[in-house]
Amino acid sequence: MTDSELIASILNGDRSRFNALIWRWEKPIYNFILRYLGNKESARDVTQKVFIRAYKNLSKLRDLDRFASWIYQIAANLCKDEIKKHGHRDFVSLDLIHENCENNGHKLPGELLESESQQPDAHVNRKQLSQLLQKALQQLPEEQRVVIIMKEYQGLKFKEIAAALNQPINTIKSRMYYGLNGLRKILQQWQITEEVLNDEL
Amino acid sequence: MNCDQLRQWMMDYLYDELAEDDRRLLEAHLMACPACQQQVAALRQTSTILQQWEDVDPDFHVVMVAPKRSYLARVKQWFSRPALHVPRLALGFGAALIVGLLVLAIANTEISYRSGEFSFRTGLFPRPQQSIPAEPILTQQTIERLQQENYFLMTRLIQQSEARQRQELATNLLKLKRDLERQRLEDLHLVGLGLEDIEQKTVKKIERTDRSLNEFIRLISSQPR
Repeated sequence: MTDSELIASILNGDRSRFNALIWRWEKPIYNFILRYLGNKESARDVTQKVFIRAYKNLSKLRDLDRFASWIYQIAANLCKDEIKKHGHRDFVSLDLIHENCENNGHKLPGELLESESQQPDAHVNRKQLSQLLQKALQQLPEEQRVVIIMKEYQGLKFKEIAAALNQPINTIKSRMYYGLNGLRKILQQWQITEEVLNDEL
Repeated sequence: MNCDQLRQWMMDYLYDELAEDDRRLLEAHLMACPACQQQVAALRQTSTILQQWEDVDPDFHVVMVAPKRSYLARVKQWFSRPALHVPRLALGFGAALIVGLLVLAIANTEISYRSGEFSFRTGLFPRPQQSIPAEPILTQQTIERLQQENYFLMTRLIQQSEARQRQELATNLLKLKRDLERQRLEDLHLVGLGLEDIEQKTVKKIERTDRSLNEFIRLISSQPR
């Protein structure tokens, strides 16, 4: 059953099917919010709020084929509200990326990644990398960050992102361009390259 | 195509959202422009690095539980279903008619018991009212007679009550007398026992003293002068 068919049956009175919709979208929405906010507890709370709001307002969805843009729009708005309410919370940083830590000898994250992997008992796992990229993403302005997350991780088309964020499509592409360039510079500064990651992972 | 134009299409190209013809134009420019080529490659590399960050499974599940709706809400929802074919007006009118009949019937219900038989009427067709015989009028004589009867009754009641109380008092006094007598006998018995005990102990002491004295006298008598 497609999302449209599921939503149609929900709007026709079978509200219990909403849970099937949740199970389908829970993981992508949670990961979107987690990348946006950088905090697990906030991500959990906001994820629940997204589905509560979607449940209450499902009848207002005009085009059932645009459910993805619609639910990401709800998620993005709630994330903005969360940041306004609680400010920008720091996520738990890795020992690996304490850039000014004396024990690390002021090494950059990329160098640390390389040196860590050369130790016989050490390993760089995907969790460390994800936290590293999370920190890099948090350096970007919010408007660029959300576009990057929607494009790179949620797989939305540019016109879907434009609809979700209620912005012109060229603005979205422009933010994507500057966001990617911003990340490129940060990763370059930290000496994190594709080669380093290929070796480690 | 120049570098500025390429920049506008770069994102579409990077994420395969460019039309076929536009893509060919762009790639032709890239072949001839190392700077743009380098920029596209750098951004593609950044995208590849970002892709290494995998999704995680949430450590919770959201479950929507529909709130309990009142009976009225469920009836409303049933009536508002689009699949309902029977005209709502007809259903509503029918329901109102039945309720109205029931209310009328209940309001005029009559149940009676006469000569060992029950009779029940719903009241839809109420029977005509029967004439009720008039009550006799109370005279002064009747009132006085009733008052006198009440007085005698009250007096008798009081006398009976007094007699009962006297009887109860006599019974209680007799019982008390018996209890006191029994207690006196018990006390005398105890005193008797006590005296016997004292007597025995005294006798024993005297006998012991007597034995000691006899022994002493015998000893003195047996001493040489």
